[in-house]
Amino acid sequence: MNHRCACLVTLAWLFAPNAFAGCWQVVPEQSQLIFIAGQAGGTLQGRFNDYSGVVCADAANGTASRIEATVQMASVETELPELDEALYGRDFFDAERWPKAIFRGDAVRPVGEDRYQVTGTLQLRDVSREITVPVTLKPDADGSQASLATSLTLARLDYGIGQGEWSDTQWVGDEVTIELTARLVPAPDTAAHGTKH
Amino acid sequence: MLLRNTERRYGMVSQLLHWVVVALVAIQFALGITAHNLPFSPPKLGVLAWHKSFGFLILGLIVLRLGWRLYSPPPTLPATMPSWQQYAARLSHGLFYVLLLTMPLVGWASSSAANLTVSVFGWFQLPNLTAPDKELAKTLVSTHIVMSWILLANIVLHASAALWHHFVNKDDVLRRMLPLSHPTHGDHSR
Repeated sequence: MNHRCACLVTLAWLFAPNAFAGCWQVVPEQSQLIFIAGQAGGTLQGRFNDYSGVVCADAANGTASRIEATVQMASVETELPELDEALYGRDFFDAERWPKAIFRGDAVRPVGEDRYQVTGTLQLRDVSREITVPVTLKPDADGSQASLATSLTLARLDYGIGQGEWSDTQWVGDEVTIELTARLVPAPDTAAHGTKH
Repeated sequence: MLLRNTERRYGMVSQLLHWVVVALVAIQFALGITAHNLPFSPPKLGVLAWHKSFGFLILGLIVLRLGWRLYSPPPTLPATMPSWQQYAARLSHGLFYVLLLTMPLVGWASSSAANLTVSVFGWFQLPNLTAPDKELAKTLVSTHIVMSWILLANIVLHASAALWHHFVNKDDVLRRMLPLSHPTHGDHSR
């Protein structure tokens, strides 16, 4: 982190203890992105290993100027190799054709201390839908890093996840919960487009 | 017929538990083999869901059977039976208890290691027995399958011995476990 960025962050903290300024990126090694689906009356849990996210906030008024998260769908991992194979394949993620899932946030509404409702577009497979997700974003006490947590529940069939025989929800439920628990660190100075990994 | 076992005959409770478990184990072999041969698909998940549910039921029934056996000991083996056969019978029966208790637990643990929770007939979910662990899941499934072969061998041994007692020895050993038959040498209640 360069001195200008550190200065900016410290200023923001001094003048607005709850404000969150500059661009921050997810550290995947210190984060966790999991999904939980219903199966046969119980649950099934898996994770994604390769993803990135960036949040940019305007120092002056604390509004977000950019929120974007990208998940490499081929990085899905459960404890069942045959399930991983199916998820990668045409009936589920079709990861060869649609390698990434992307969320772009358009609007942020504070709803409490460190809590926000973020509205944006989620693109999964070939479907884009507008969604609103609750996000908790808490800078550390010294302002140098932050933690982010969000959870969303979606209907997999809305995104075409589960084709053919898998569109039946008897044994694999329609509702899937996705949870991201992330550590955010200041991103190196980035241009308006593109994220650094 | 009495509820409890006598010196010469199994009572109603033992017989019911025995034959119900026989039926359930037959169902489990059918479900397990079917699931094993299906490609990864919704029907496979469905068959496995039934298999896990029946498996938990067997676990419960075997625990009941063990408890009942402590309360009402089984009939004594015929005095005419050579001691090596009596020893083999006790081993075989003991092996049934070990397998029918352990196999459901291994199966349950394999689901836990696969990060799948088990639901019993959709009524309630079982807690996880292990942490998620891909390699452990694979090992436990293999162990479960190997144990099923041992169980099958034990069943063949057990059924063959029962039929041998009945048709060759012409003694009461099989009759004692059959609901509608009467031992030829009379009942002596405890």
